Amino acid sequence: MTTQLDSVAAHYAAELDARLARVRDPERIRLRRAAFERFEALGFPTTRAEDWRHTPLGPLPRTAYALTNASVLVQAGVAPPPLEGEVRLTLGGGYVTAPARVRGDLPTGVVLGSLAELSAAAPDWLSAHLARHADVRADAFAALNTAFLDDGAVVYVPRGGACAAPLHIVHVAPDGPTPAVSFPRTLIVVEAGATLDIVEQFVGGAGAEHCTNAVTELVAGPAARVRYARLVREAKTVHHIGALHVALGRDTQVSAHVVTLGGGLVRHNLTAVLAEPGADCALYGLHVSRGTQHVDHHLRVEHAAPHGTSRELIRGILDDRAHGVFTGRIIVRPGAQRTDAKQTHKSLLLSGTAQADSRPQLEIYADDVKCTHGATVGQVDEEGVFYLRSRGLPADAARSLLVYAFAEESVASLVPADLHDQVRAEVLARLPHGELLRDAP
Amino acid sequence: MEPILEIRDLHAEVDGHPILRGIDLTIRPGEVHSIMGPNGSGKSTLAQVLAGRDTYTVTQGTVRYRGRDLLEMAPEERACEGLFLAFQYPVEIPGVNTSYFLKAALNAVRKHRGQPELDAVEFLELVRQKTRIVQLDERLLNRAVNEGFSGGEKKRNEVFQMAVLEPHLAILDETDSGLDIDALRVVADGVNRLRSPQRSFLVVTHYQRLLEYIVPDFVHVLVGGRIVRSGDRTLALELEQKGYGWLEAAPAAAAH
Repeated sequence: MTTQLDSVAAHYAAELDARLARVRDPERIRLRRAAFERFEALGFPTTRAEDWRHTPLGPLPRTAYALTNASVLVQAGVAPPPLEGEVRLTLGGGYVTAPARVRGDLPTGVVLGSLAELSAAAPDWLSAHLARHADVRADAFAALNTAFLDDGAVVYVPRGGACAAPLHIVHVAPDGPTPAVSFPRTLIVVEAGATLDIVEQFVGGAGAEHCTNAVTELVAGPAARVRYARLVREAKTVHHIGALHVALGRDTQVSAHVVTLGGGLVRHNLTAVLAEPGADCALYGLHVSRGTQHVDHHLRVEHAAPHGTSRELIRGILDDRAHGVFTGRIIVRPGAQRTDAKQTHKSLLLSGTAQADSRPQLEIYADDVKCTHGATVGQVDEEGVFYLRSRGLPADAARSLLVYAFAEESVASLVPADLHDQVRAEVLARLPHGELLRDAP
Repeated sequence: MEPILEIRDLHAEVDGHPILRGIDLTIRPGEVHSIMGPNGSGKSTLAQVLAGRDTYTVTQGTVRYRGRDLLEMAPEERACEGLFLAFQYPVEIPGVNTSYFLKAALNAVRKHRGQPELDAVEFLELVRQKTRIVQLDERLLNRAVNEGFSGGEKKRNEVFQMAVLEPHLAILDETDSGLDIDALRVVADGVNRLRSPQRSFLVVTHYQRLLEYIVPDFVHVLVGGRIVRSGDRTLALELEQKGYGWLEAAPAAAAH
């Protein structure tokens, strides 16, 4: 076992050496080397670690995945449909392959492009933000992603800018018979007073048990308003470990929807830091899981300043032998008075073999705060089913409607509207008898 | 005239506890029957059994509805065949828009009857017209079914749904409970406007008060799972004066 893990680590080390040989910027080399050292020190987590207790990684730590490079082909069939007025950036295996990958017209001053290119053009600007928020020190996956940070997506909205067009980043995982790992990386910087709607989707990955190790850092300045959506729609064999780190400034408003409709083993590490007073953060999660899917939402919301508001609403619909895990930690630092934090996790089990685990964790070091949490696990409400049937709806349709409604509540504020429509359609497609509700609102 | 509903010797239980112990009741088109009785007498059980709630087990007896065996029919089939239950406790259904729900219900019923489904415009027109019957705030239609509705709004919503679905037999299960006098008048007025020579009502209530507004043709008193007395509306007035105690002691045979 140990030798197997050692040989995997040696495999990553050799790959890293080969990649860093092509990097010129010493700062970047230092960052990546340091991250890899953290990865080596931490190793892949096991279920003995508290944060991974309910999520065994299976073969992932023992697999010497092929590493992706800029040659990953983006299959036309896996591309999600366009959103109205979107500007899209497509990455294959974590790489932007210039020049044709940005489609649409960007507003003046707004940047959507390749991290590698920006790294050459504005290294200092990038250094000020990149890897400043992801937990490279304690999270082995974030460390490994950072070590292999060859390329990625970067978004920048300047001070006071309004990006009217929704930005749409599509990460296409490699497909094919050889298990491959990709390290999608995204940095989103929204300056003071700016607004942005942005969607990040993960697709592809058919053919083998591929691994996606993704990290997104979202930095929103004072009074910025960001609506972010993250969709995992990869093949059901993909191991997806994804991190989203949100840093909020004074009076910043960020909402993030994380919707999981694909993947096999999916882990979301969602972190929000409300570092300045008056920040407002809402995290919504929805997964519709079946077969042997395992979906883990691991949330950490840190209130470090007074008058912050946070909302976490995570919902799971689980059929067959699917397993849902939720850990929600709210930390209120000393002095973060008048914090208003609320967390709910609800699971709907459609079969007797599906399972849901829920672990709320509150750490409160301030005395004038409002923090609540609630978790429920249940089945479809039979009273509700009878009520609908008593009005003429067939039993199957009544049941599906209640399940759909459960899902819909957690994506009610998802934007853009056409993305919301797509998610609705996909949720329905994954529900038993969902076709009975095709015209559901 | 053919009866719309014919209940014979109906027995039902829940978790092995008998609740209905031999109900006989015949309702003809256009008639309004009221079932009264003390708490726990089986009034709501009767209403739920007729609508097809499967938490109750029918152990004996028959129910014929418009010439068919009602007990063989699924709840949705009963609804499609024109049986409507206004719930004592209307269920809150978060996330399901009231208007969508009602349209789905109406079109299920219309499809069953061989009528074409209504499109959005026709549906909206129908709904507008029907909301006036119970003075229902149209904005409620864009909210989740019964979610956050006041007690009065929920009961109005029940009568409103009844108006939209146009049943042959409407069962009102304590529709008066939790209503103030103004709401009661509105709800009763809505019911009265739906009365017709073809449509029948079974009005389940604890209090005589509702029957001042919805005047029944027949009043039945349910005690201990049996109808112990039947009469016209004066029976309700008698109950108002004497309470139920004198009937609880009475032999079941007095029913016939």
